[in-house]
Amino acid sequence: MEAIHTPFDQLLEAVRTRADWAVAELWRDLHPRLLAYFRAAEPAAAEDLAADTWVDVARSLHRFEGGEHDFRRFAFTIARRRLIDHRRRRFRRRTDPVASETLADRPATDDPAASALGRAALGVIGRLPPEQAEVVLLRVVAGLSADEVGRIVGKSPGAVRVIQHRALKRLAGLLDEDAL
Amino acid sequence: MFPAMQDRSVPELDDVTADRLLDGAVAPDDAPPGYQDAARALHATALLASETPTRDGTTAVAAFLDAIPTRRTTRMKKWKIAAATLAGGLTLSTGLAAADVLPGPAQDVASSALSRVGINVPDGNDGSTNVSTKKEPKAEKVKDDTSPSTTHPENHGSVVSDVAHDESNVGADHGAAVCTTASDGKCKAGETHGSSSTNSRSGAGSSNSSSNSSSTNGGSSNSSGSSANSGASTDGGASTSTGSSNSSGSSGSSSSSGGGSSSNSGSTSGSSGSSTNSSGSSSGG
Repeated sequence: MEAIHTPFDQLLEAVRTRADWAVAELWRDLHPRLLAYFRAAEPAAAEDLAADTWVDVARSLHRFEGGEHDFRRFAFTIARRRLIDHRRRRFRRRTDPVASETLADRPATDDPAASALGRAALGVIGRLPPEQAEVVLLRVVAGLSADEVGRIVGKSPGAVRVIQHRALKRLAGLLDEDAL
Repeated sequence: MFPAMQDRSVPELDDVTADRLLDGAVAPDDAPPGYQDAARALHATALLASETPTRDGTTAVAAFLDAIPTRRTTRMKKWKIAAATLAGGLTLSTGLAAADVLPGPAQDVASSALSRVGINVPDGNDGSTNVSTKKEPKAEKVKDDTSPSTTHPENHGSVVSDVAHDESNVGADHGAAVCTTASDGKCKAGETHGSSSTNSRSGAGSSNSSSNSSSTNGGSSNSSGSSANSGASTDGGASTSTGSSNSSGSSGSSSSSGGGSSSNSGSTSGSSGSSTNSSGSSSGG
């Protein structure tokens, strides 16, 4: 379901001039993806990481050139860096200041059942090895191709396909285990 | 149970189907056996990523809007960079023009342009500039044709020596030949005394005088470089050069030592004419 209906170049130009309608349209498209990405990776800091990502996107907005998919890749490149920075900081502190949130605590918005299922799915994806979880999230949540994911994570498209293949097998195994 | 063992229970999946599952192109019920739940989870995740955000977004949106650089800010930065570059370029050009180190045409342009705003800098043709001042000594050196290193070939000394050893000429003719060779034809040996003095003096005067004194003592006479000493040394005319001569070719100097025969008073006392010359010849006799 695409939230962007305006031609992207016009939308981007309007966002650069701080047009409310354009920011809202971009926000509706990108923010849920960022939140889902961060909730699967770092549930406790997902909101903060998403907000930090938006600020960084805004600061670099005048340098960006490209279409909608390029913008999404650009945003998730920043998101991934924020995630790495966050984990690095957390490793230095060696403490987890906030207890892990359960995905079920989040209220549903559109369809409660689907949303609850999605949050549960995010939890299962979060149990994958970090490399596999990252590839699955960028493919599913960000809606990027294997090539685009490879450019973000610094791997070849072939390597990304190998990782996603293993991730799907592992995910199926985990869900099968949970069902048992 | 180990994860690897778990994976073995899951059937294999081809790459195309894996791609389609992740793209959401496969409905959960159409997924391969063993992957229906995974497809359902991926589908739910994709839906979650597309749901409308309704909470906790106001602050983040405000921060996002504040962080967007306005077009005016971006333009101002560009103008500032352009202005700084222009100012730096003008300062550098003016400084170089004031120092008069620009190439001639550029210096002319800078001079005319700066003169309009009341700044006087030398133009490219200004003789008082630093560049021309630096060039003047070089020009003087070029004009100094008495320097042996610039006017004679490297074997000049040996040529003079050969002439000095040549016994076909004797007496004044021999001296004149040596003189002429040593001075590249500037020597006036054999001419009327007094007329040759100016030419002879064009050489290194100090060395002439030393050779003169030795020649009057019956010693050797030295001619160095292109100086017309050797010519003058034979200026006495009456003396006979019987001694050997040494020459160092590379330096272009030749020295000849005779048995007290050579005399060379003409060269040192060129201005005073033939009076000193006669003394040389008398001592040679």
